[in-house]
Amino acid sequence: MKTKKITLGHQNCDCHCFIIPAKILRKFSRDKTLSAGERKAFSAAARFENEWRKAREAKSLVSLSAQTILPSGLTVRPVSPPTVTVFDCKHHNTLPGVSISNPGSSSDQTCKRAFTETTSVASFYQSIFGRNSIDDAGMAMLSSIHYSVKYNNAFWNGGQMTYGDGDGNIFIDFTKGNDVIGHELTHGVTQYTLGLAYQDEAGGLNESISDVFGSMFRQWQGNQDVSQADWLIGKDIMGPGAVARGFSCLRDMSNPAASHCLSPQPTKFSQYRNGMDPHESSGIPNFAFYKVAMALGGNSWTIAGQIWYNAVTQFGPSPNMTMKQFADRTRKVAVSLFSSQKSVKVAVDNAWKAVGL
Amino acid sequence: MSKLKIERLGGLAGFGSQNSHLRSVGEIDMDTLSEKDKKTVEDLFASQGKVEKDLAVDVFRYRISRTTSEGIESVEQSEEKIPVAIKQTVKDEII
Ligand SMILES: [Zn+2]
Repeated sequence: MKTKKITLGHQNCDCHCFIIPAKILRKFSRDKTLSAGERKAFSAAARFENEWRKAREAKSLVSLSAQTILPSGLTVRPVSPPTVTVFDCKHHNTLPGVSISNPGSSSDQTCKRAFTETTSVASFYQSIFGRNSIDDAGMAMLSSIHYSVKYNNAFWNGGQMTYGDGDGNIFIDFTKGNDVIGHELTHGVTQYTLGLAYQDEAGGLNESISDVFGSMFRQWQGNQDVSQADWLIGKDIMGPGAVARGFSCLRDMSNPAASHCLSPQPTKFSQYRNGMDPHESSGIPNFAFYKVAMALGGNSWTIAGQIWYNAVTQFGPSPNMTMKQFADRTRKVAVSLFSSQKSVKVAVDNAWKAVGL
Repeated sequence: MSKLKIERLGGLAGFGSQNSHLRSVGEIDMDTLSEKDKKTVEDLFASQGKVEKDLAVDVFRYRISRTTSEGIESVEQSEEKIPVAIKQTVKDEII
């Protein structure tokens, strides 16, 4: 019988724990190239993962409750940052690829960037929102680089990030976009909170939340206020062929329909149609967030970001949420979080009204 | 000979959406596919394009279209379910 080497453990610690999505564990449990014993072990692990996920959710809930009942003056013990690992696909299509030891000091700049930027996103979520990694329970953050050949994409597959090198013409290395890395990791955050579907209005919201926090992370890293920010998505991954044709980004949150975008978007809900690609309909809530942030001024993460984060994370799953429901939730959160600042309520209300919601 | 038209859609950049400047298309003769890949394609069409819901986001989707006596028939599926020989036919371009 053929044998297959599968490495699932943490690379930077001596523990034997691992976080592999149940989907992948189930896939291994059906893999005929593995022995019957191995398949059985993966099947058992998949069942265990479900239980473990529930335990993680309970832990998050306890942690949140503890924070609310702690007497004022007492501080919560600082959490240790999540483990960040990087794997090299070596231009193949198999995930996760080969583990890279000490990714932060690798001579491969793509590896180093994936490690550094992922660590920075974790720090952004921790310091600005008090969130402990993707699942708020310290989940390890796994990235695979050099996926496939001249691959013009980056994606979150439910358990990890994956980055292509770009074709060198339309796009360059996808790890070069700090907003791209923030975008992909935020898909993980959305998965563990609102659990949004990936079609119709929920799909557009899902994409928008990733663009909003991806751009916010870019601004936070650059210490930019809202008027200094470029509000572009994908500016740093544009290849020479795209730039030569006058394209400077994938999307522009400040002007979603702009001609310098490779994929211009609608700006009003009246333009929305069911079946639209989520990367298209996301322009509507993206534009609303931009308008709120601009109306309030300062740093986007101070008020607008807190409202959006609260609306995403504090109400449990809502897989089929509509854009109107999300808009109304941010209106309510704006009032509850910033009750003494009427201008916040007005800014949020005006922004959504401007896009027709 | 039965030709298949292939389109790569979505991804982080939003290939192939209505106003997108990004297109990725290709073509292949069904006869040139291996028996295994032919069966995969037939199974995809037989599945009536029901895309299995999973947690993957920003993953490319592929639309495969063929002309039958009843008109053009299309099926969409995420990239991990598409044979490599079909995925290799598309070329990314700016339009
Ligand atoms: Zn996305």
